[in-house]
Amino acid sequence: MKLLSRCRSALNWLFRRRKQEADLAEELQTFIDFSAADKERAGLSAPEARRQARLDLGIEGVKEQVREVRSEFLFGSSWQDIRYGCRMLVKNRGFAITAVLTLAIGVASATTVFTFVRAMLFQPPVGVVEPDRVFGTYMRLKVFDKDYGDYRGFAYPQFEALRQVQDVYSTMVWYARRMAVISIGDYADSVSLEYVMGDHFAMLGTVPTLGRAIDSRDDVVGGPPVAMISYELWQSQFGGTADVLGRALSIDGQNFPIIGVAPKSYVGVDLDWVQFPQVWIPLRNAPILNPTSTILKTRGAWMRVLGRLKPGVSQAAAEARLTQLISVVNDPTDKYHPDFVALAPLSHARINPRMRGDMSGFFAVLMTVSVLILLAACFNVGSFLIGQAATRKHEMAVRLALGASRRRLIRQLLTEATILGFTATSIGFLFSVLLARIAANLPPFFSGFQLYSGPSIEPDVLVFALGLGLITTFVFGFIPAVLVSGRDPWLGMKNSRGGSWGGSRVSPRQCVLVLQVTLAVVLAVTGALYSKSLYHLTQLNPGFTADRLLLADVNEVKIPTDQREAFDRALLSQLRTLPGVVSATISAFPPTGGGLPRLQFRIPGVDQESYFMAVELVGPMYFETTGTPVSVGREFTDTPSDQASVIINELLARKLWPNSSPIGKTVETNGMLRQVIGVVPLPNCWDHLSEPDPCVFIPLDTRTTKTMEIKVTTYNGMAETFRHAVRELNPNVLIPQIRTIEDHLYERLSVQIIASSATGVLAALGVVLSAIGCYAVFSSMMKERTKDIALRLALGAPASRLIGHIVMRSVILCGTGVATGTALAVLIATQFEEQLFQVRPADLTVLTGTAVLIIAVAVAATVVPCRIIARTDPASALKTL
Amino acid sequence: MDRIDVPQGTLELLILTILHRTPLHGYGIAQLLSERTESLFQVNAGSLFPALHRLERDGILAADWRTTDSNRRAKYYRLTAAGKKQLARETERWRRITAAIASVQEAI
Repeated sequence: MKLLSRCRSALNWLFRRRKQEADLAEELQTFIDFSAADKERAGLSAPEARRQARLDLGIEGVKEQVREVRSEFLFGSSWQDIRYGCRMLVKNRGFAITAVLTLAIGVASATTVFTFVRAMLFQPPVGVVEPDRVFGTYMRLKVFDKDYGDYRGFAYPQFEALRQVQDVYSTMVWYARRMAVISIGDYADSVSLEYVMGDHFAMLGTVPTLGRAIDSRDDVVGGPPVAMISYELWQSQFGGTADVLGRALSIDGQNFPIIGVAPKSYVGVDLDWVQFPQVWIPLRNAPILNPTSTILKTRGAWMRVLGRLKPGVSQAAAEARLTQLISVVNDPTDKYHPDFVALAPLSHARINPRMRGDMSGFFAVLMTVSVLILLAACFNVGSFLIGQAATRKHEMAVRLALGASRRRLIRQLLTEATILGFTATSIGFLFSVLLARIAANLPPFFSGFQLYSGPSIEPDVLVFALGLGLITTFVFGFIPAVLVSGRDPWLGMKNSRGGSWGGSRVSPRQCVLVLQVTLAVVLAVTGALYSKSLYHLTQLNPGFTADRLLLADVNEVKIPTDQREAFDRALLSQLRTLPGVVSATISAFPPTGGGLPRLQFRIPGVDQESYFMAVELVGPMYFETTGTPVSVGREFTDTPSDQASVIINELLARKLWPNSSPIGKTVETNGMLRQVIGVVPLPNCWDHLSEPDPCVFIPLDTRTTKTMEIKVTTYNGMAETFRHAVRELNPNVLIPQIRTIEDHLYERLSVQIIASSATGVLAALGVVLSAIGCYAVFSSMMKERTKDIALRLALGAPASRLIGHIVMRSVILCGTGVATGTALAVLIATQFEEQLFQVRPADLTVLTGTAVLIIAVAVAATVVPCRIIARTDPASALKTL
Repeated sequence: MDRIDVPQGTLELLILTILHRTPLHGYGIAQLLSERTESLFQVNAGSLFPALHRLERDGILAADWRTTDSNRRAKYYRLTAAGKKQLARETERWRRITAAIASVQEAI
């Protein structure tokens, strides 16, 4: 109340100065008039009465006192203090700008990471009504009375049974995602699609930007196809025009009229997918896309259930009730026998609780690094303020001696710190807005980070940033303020200019420097460990020659199944005749693609039961085109007899036939007998980054989506040539994506690249900050001791010896920082060891390299101010001081 | 009798007490103070106006311009709700101080 009233008064005083001054003048004039009238009544002559009344009041003095009272506000600082503070900062603009910028960067990185992590882990989707009543619902398993930690989705029949319970949820919905190829005109893309039930959007309260959301009218068996599209798809492919409603969107070759556009930034509930959904269709439209769809029977972690609790029902009560019911619903033949039902509030259910732990590892590193950067920035600001205070010892001492209260001096220094903090925070906030903009425009393979554009910078984030900046500067401004103002003025004046070298006493500023170096080391080591890990990953042999290989996704959903094989054949032979094409082949998944299917596998006559084996489906000349050597036997050819053959990896060959050649042996896949014709030296069939795993390659079937691998002599124009070839052969074939193998591998490493580039940039920043810290400490130390230096030079001390002395001191200080920093860094790195690839936290090269680098930087930053010594002319220096 | 300055720290209490009864302008407050203490207390404008403006700034007093009996415009101060609370606190504080002083004097 009092604070508010004060601020209002100060603002009034500032912006309505003229009116306020006029009021004050009139008020005092009234006083004089009354006083004069009284004096006249007491017998004085009119002019004399007026004269005395004026004298009594002392009008200008009173005005000045009132002005001071009026202009005071926060912390009792007046505008005078602020003006003075600004002048002091401008006077030291070099350091002030550095301090402001470093703090701004610190605030920006903390704000950005805070926004991102909060959006991922703690915020419900935008536009959900009463999100705290909506719960993700999972089934869990117990093994030996221990929570197995797995959060599974429900199969549709189980969900249906649970939905019959009337006393838990008012609405309960089941939804699932899959990839689908959409096309509009010439544009085709493979996007994420979500099957939703009729009351899905009604339950969440999602209001579409345009048209209507999918509702219970749409979700009926045999109902007509309808689709809702994302705001982003609407903008990019339909130009954001209103006539999109009713237009047909082709999904996997089937036409779906568009009925609505989702709100801006609505990315669905789940965030634990590589891509956000672009299209929503009613669950009961599923058979339109795939008449033999098993989606309503299967179950897995990707089948999700949400429910809105009835008023008065608690989470615990709901869990108990549903658990009691699930045992009735259970299918006794089911291998996954759920033991209980668990609920998670919507804000925590956007990432499957099972994966929250894994993801929080990455978030923890991000948070740690951003907090370290903020700390480093704080130390820089602290160091700046301590330095400021130290160079103003004399000024402070004089003011104290002249009777200024200690409170008044602290107030002055705090005002300056606050100005600094406020400026830095404002700039930092702008930085973070800018960062969010940049992140929103990142290339598509950073899709996981698209979300970043979703959580706009909200008022509470502004408050968070402001709080961070102001608290930082307040704390770091308070210490030097107390230190300086507490001095005996006499000592302050005496010692303020000069002082001796020898002082082995460690100043607060040197302590800050050691802390800064410690932080720089921690940051640099973190960055280096990630970079080294990334380097190892890129150097890993993918098992094939990753060079001038073009990968093109083709989608044949619009051509009849029995024509697909003929089309593939025709296209491949067409491609092989093109100039610039060395060879061409086809596979179900791109090399190092991930997500391979598994099929039942056994050795007839040996295995009683079959087991699941990862499989890649490839066309003729696949290994030749991708540059994978076939170590034993041969690869698939065009001959029809090869349809019943199989190629296995070395791991499987060693496992099955350790002492004999696998060639010619018979295996059974999904009930079909196949002969082994070759062995390839790949650790697994999908990904050179993953663990070795036995696997098989079989000839490609007639599936809808495949990847063509085209070995070319040059990438130039080949994508266009390919599109042209396809269009000529069959215009109905869609080409969602064409990319080079380099881009493909790069995409596979995107998370590691983001992690190592983020930590790398931050680490570089930390090193620069500590260099600035070194420079600031030693240059101010040098300035304070100009007299001492001059005296020594005059007495014949060689400049080189003085410089050596200073550099030695810097090395000792930084060495202390490096030692503690290294220890701390190893300690921290062991916490995220699992994220590092073939790098141990105590990596000797990284640690020594960092130590050498930091000390070198520190020495360089110390040598620069040493020029003062070299330039000092003893005679003039001694004279002026 | 000699006139003495208002004892330190009591000016605020005196202003609040006077304004509790009726809104008044600056000169009126000074006059009333002097009349009530039979001219013992003298408050100079150099203390009075900063004090009034400080109280107004902190939301304890509010002010508006009115016309006096002699047809002059003057700035009248009055207590706000916060001012009334403040007066109660200050009065209680003063009562305790005087009681304490009295008990010391009695003891001697």
